[in-house]
Amino acid sequence: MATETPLDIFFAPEGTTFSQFKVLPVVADGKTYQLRYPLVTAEELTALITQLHQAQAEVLAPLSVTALVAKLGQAVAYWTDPSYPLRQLAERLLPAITGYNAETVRLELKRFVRVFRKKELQRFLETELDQPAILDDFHPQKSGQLTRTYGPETAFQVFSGNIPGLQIWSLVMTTLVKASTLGKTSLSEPLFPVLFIRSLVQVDPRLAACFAILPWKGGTKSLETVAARQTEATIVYGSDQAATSIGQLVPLDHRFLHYGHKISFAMIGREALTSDHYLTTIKQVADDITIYDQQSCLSAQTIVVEAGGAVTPLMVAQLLAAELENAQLKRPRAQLTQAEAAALIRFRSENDLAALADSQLKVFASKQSTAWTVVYHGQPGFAGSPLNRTVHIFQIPHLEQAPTYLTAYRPYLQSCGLAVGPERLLRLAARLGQVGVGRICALGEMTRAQAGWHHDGQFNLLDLLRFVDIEHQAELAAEPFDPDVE
Amino acid sequence: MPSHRSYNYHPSFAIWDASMKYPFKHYVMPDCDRMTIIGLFPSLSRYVTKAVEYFGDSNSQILVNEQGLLYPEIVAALKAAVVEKRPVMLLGASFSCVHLFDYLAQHHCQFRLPAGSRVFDTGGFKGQSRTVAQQDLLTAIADKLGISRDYYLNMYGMTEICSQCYDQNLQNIASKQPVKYRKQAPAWVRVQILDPDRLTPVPFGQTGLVAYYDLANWNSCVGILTEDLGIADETGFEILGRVSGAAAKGCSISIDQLVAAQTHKE
Repeated sequence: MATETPLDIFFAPEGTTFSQFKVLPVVADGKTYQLRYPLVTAEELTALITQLHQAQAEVLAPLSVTALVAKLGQAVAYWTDPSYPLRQLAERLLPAITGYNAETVRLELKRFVRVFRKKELQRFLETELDQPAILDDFHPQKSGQLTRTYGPETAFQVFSGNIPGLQIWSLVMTTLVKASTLGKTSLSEPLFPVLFIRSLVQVDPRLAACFAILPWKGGTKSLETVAARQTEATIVYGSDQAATSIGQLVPLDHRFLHYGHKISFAMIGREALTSDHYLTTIKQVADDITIYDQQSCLSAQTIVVEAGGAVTPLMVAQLLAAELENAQLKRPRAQLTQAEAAALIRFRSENDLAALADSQLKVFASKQSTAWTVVYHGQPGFAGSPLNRTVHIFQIPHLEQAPTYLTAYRPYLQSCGLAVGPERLLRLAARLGQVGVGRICALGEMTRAQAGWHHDGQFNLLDLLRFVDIEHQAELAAEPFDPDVE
Repeated sequence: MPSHRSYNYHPSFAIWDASMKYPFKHYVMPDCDRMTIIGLFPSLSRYVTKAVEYFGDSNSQILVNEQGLLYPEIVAALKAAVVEKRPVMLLGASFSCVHLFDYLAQHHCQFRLPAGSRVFDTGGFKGQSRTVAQQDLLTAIADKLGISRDYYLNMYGMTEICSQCYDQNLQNIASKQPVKYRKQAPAWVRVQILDPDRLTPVPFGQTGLVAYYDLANWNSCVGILTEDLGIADETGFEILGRVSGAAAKGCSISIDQLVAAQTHKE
């Protein structure tokens, strides 16, 4: 007999009431979990936000940023312990909810939470604020004035569901600036932010009043209008359409941040394809494609390979194909929906047909499944892929020519995994930065952004803050009113 | 998605005509040799023209032009059929039926067409802005024309191949068999439902992509992998609709948006 375990996949302050719930059964390790979430109404949401405002003033606002770093750091520290029960629960349930390979989820979750350890949180703060203490008090600036900064009181955050855990990036940032959070999760991954808040509440039970995290169907105007109007900041992860539709609901004087859909790619110089380096290079590229099946905006969709190495670009395509076949045995790709599989079949058919007329085009594909596809192009170029371990390889005589092919994709470019020698690194990075790339990283690390990264070229904290200055003259003018002054 | 118009070039129409004629007779007209056909599909369509030529009586006509359906003429033709107790076949795509029913509703028109009348829906809302559920269509057909489900027939075909497949209900009725609604293929056509991931046949009752093998398409491509979802059992197969565009669930930008970005640039 399989046991049934109820589990709430939402978080709401104590005393919150919901009139209706829905239950979603998920089977993991032979156990059925009944995932429960509320079908929230606009009235309930309004009450929730009022409560979050109040809790922000009472709990978060008086806390020093140092205290907040310590509390968040402690919650993250729990997650670095393999025997932590919530981590074990996440490792069990997330593969079942998302379909991702369990081993990948276990490894990547462990790596991801480390980005938010105490010392990393300090890195985030001090990268953007010379004096993080201005989040607590007025502090003198070099210009002479006294400055303090305030985050929003409440932040409405629309999380995406593609990558387990990713939601806590913005959750941690808004908490650092003392905002309470209304988080809208996606049912494709509603779990991690809820578990993380439970850890935070373990550290300090008073913080429970400052978070509400729950799913609803994206685009529900009645709810999103309430959420966008009654909070001071709205942060949306998702497509341009989703952002536009929510952005229209945000009053002009409120903060609105959007992290949209992006495309990432890799560039391999001939120096990374010498006989002693090529194998490592290929394995790293395979990692950048297999981790979370390219659903992350940081994953490589195109690999630009320079000719002239010990291994030719065509051989890179063949070696990568072999490596993706190995990966399928070790960490199989998620099961696809019929629509996703059909998109891959169409992509393959189109390229197979094109290859009949183009000797420069070659398609390498897994047999009897859509597990992986490598399309080799014998000339320079750039293209998006239908994801799910599908990648283009473009051969190019010199990597320096690559930026020319990127300009059409400028608004969407994000990370470039770059494997070149030190003397080319900065030169190429400068060209890539010019055409819109926002992050240069090592191969094999593409899907793992580091603490302090300028997320999509923007700030993590500064964009949430407003600053208040006391001019030096005001300070001087106050002096005579001190009765003790001579 | 950019719309894409398909072409299929035929060196001669002999095979095409033969592959159209006999299954049409078998599945659409099993109970009579000729009847009044009212074509609601543009006359440019060879299929409709040939249907009228082979199987239409002298009252048959195509009542659509470049401007659209000729509503008053259609109503007059239906009225005449009722008066003369002459069964009619309305032949058109799903969306032409929808427009006709809108018109009939607006003008408070309702018919009880003579026994044996039928609606032959050549299928498809491709490229049309409006779709209706099949159940709504069937209800409207019963309500506006007095034609029951058993006398409604749907076809599956496409430009890329020659031969069509049909619902079997009229054939069942004519041969006094229990009525079933799934589609059957002519002897020279095989339809297989394939697992979209492995492209191998799935067992009966499981959905998958429709693969269509048509020997009449000898001049171009005998086997076609469609993007239609279907399901089959011992009695035949059913089309469940187009596989929906795979929406990117990730924050990775989808290929469609990229194509759009590039087209915009050019």
